[in-house]
Amino acid sequence: MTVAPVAPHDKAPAVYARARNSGMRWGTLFHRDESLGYILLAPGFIVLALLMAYPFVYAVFLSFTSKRIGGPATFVGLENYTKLASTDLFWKTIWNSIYYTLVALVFKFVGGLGVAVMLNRPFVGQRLAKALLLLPWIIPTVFSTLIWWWLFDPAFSVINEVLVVKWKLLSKPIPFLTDGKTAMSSLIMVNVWRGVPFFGISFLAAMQAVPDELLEAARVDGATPWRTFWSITFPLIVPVVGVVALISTIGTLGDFDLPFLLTRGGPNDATTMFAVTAYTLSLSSGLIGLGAAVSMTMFPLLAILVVVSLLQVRQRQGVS
Amino acid sequence: MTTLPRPRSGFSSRRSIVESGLAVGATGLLIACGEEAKPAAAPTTAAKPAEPTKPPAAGAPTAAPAAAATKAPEPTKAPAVLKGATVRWLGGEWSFLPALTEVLEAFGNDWAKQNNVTITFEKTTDILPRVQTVIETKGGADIIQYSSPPATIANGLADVSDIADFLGKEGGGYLPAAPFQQVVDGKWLGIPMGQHNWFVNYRQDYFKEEGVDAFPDTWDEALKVGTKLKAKGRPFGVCMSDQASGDGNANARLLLWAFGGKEFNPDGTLALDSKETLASLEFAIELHNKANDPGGVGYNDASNNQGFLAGKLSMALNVNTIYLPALKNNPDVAAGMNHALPPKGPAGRFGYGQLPFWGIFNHTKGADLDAAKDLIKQFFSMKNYGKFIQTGQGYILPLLPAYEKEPVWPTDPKLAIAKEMFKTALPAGHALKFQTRLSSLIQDRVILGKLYSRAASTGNAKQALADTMKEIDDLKKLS
Repeated sequence: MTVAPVAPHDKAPAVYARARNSGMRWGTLFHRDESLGYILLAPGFIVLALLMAYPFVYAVFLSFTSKRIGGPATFVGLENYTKLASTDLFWKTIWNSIYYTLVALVFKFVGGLGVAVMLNRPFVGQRLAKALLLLPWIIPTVFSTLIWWWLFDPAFSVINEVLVVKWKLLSKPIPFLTDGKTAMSSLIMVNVWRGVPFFGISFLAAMQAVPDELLEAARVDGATPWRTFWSITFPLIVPVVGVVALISTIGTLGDFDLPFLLTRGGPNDATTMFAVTAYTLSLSSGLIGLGAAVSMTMFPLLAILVVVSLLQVRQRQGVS
Repeated sequence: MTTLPRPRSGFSSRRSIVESGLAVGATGLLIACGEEAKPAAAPTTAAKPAEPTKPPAAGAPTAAPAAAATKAPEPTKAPAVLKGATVRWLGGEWSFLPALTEVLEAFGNDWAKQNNVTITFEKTTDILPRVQTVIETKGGADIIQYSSPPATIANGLADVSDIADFLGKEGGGYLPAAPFQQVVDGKWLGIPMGQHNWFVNYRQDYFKEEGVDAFPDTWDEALKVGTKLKAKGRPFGVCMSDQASGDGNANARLLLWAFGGKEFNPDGTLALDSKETLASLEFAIELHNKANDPGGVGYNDASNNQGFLAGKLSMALNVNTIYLPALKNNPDVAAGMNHALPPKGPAGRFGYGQLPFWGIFNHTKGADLDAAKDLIKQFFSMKNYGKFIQTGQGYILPLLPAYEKEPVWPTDPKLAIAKEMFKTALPAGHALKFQTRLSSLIQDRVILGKLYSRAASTGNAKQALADTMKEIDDLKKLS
């Protein structure tokens, strides 16, 4: 009996077909823009989900628990929030955070705009000026804040040493960090010093993107530089102003390193803000649930700011 | 509509991008999960449960006097079961007196070598976040050296009553401050290293220029001299601040207690809102205005050390952390300064002691736990620990009476008061039976430092006290 030889590739067509189909399915996924977009987004999304979304969701969960260091996280509903709302510390935290953010934002905006206008005109040493402008922003905050602390030191302030001891311009030292009001002013000053470069450079980049034809046309029409700036330049950089202000507000409202290093929220909680209060409650006192609740109260404020700013930017872009 | 076939090269490059993206994502995931995936070391030997030890009542020694201590620190060989164990020590650093670190590490390394144990020392200046991380992640350290009372981190600490019992018996019974501070819910959670005592550091040469040979015996007399000294640009450096966890807690209590004030009643109720506290605050305001450095209301723990060493301050309430560095780096200051007991107030003279301790994290199990316990027991046994105390020259004073006759006391006559203080200093909240969570939080948050800062900077004692009482009330609600 002869057995018909079975061609080794008799079953192959099915296998190959499956492989081809599978490959085609993957290939199709890669070929289609809508699916490829998701595939390309996936790695970034996964990293964001792990490093940002998970901690955030976990913090939301913790804020509804009585979690203490080393203890269990027992669900307590809104108890942490109601407890917080009944304390002076919480309201001081909110007030200080908003005051610090708004005042610093105004000064950073004005300073940044001034710097950008100045640097937008050609002058000798412009490049050097740009590089120097960036210094406060690129120096690590911890390092620069420690230098500021040294300048403001309650016992050894260099500024006081010069004003009181050397030049005898003042009879007593300025309480930079030991009086509530001056401590907040000192903090705002350092924040503005650190933030102006970011505003300035961003505004400058936006100004340099303003078409020369428009500026030239304004000049030809006899517009003054003041009028040209407010009628042409500024409206065109408003989207950048909005984004910069938004980023700065988010960063300032959640600022930790500066108030923590300079005042630790003192004196007498006069400079405590969201992040410092959350740290104090979570780590210094071991009340993790309460600390998380403090952090969470910042979220609605930020969300409102983000939505309003983005809507405004979008609206202006639509108009333009 | 037909779709044109895409060129092969386009597909290939796009696939490369996708594959690279996936690879990066996968790598990120692996990195992110790395810590989680790391297997925990299995306990090698089951720990023998410690015999529960009944804590002594505050005020009574814990055990009978024991044999006299020998001098040389000699770690002894522990049972073979410790072989292969690991002990990870976590604590602060004594930057002003590195010899303390050297004594500790030399002992630990010798002990580890003799017992075939791996030991690591992690020193950090900002220990609090590290401690919380260790407790929450249940890993990273086995032994902790910590200055605040163990009550605030009680959830993360193991019962070390058996070691306290052993050491107490050996040293003649712990002084009352030890169980007061270290016992939580009937268990010793920490073995006290001893006590940091705050005393008067003063420039005797400056005082002599004012016709005063030694630091005055009372606060009132001190204020008079201080007024003259401040007028000459040599103010006191009393720390009335919430920015200093050591000096802020200590200085405020030395002022409070001297005028008859106290934080708590024995039954646990608050006793701070009293006329004695107000009297103390009124005095503090006067002291601040007439004799103290204006910056005192915002000092951190290093401020009065620096001011004193720079020759700017005539007095500071501190440990010996001004004098010891001065001996090395500022000999003129060291030569001109001296130490004195804290002045008397209307209620008498009081000393303040802060009790740093060693504890064991309760995630430490098996042979590692046995090893950690053995290390603590041996390091703190009198034959070994005396050298550490002696090296500190009064920085840390014992809490066991048997040390009184041991050669552990400062040999420098300018630090001789250390021996006078060691039995009299009291811990924060001393009127309580045991340290409570609220009294610990009041220390951790330096609430009394804040009270004196408020009073001195506003000049309004009543309002400062009212604000502080509200703050403590808030703290009670939150905790």
